Amino acid sequence: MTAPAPTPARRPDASMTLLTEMLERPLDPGYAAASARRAAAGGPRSTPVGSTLVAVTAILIGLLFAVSATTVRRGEASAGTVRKDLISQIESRRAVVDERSAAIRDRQTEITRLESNALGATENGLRQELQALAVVTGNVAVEGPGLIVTLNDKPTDDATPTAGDGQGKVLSRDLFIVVNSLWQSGAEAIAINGQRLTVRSPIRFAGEAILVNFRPLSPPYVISAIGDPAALPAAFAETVGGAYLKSLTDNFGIVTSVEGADHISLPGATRVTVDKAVVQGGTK
Amino acid sequence: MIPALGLLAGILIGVVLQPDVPIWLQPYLPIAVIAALDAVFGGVRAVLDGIFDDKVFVISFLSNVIVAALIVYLGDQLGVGAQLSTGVVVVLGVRIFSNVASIRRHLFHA
Repeated sequence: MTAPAPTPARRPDASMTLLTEMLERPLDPGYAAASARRAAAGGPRSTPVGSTLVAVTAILIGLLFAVSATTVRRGEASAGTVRKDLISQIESRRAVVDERSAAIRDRQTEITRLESNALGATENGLRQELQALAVVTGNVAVEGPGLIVTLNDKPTDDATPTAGDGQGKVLSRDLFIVVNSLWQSGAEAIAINGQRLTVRSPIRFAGEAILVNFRPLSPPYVISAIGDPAALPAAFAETVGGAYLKSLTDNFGIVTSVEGADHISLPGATRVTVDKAVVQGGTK
Repeated sequence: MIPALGLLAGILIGVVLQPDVPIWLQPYLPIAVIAALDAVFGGVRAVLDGIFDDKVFVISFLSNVIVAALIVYLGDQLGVGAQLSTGVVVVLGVRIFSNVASIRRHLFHA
């Protein structure tokens, strides 16, 4: 058995050859090699800098710089204009929706008026029944005393909204819980930021926005509920919603308030008609 | 002198003509710029070291740009394009800094 051949001492940084190579020899080794070859052949160590090849390459490099700079800047500019264009489109479409909603409300008041005119001539009971149904389904604007619950995102120091995590933002879930608790405590009609809730009103999340009746809302979220002013606040405080609001404030810094109001007026819903559903056993 | 004039001429041509770059080529432009800068500073250093070689300069420029673009393309295909771009920028950045440091030593003896 022979002794193992002595191995050369390892450099302490042998595992980082890639890094040391990069840091210690930044110049392309090709230059030194080409120079050594020329020197060995008896030529000069360096070729002239002013050759056509170098000039052409220099032009190419300059072109590359200029093209990159202009392209990147143009890209930024066009992204800005696209953004502005989208924002203006959103705003104009929203204005159209508002306008049409107002038109629908006008037509609905007209229908209500015509209906009561037509019914006024006949039976009185029918007219009252119609009105009661319209209130329950949310088809007409109503007013009365009640409760106003306000939820707002946690205030931020700067103008930009807090990034990503969603901490301190009001979620659609928060609104369901409050709305369900209000129904539970005897509310008769509810609207969120002027969107009247009916049996066909979804409250849902789309991206960052809360949609009620398919309309995006922006904070603060004001939930107005009409109900018995004596019973509603106390009943609401006892439901899950009352405790939930407090925990939202304590844990996430969401600003909430619950206030009684003597007079609340809620708009009628713009969309209560049904197309396909018919009474069982009946025909359309 | 002539290379500096060429560089200037290239920049002028680019600014005046403003050629349209196809959209698929645009992600490679920043990397190509860094690679070109590396080749330029390497060339300047070689001139000052007195071992400049025009063929090595041209080939180092072309290969830098092509290899950098290839790495980024591969990264895009693998879904790590941003990370590989950062890697390329770091490696070439280190080389640019040490070449500039060497040029500074030649010019100012400091």
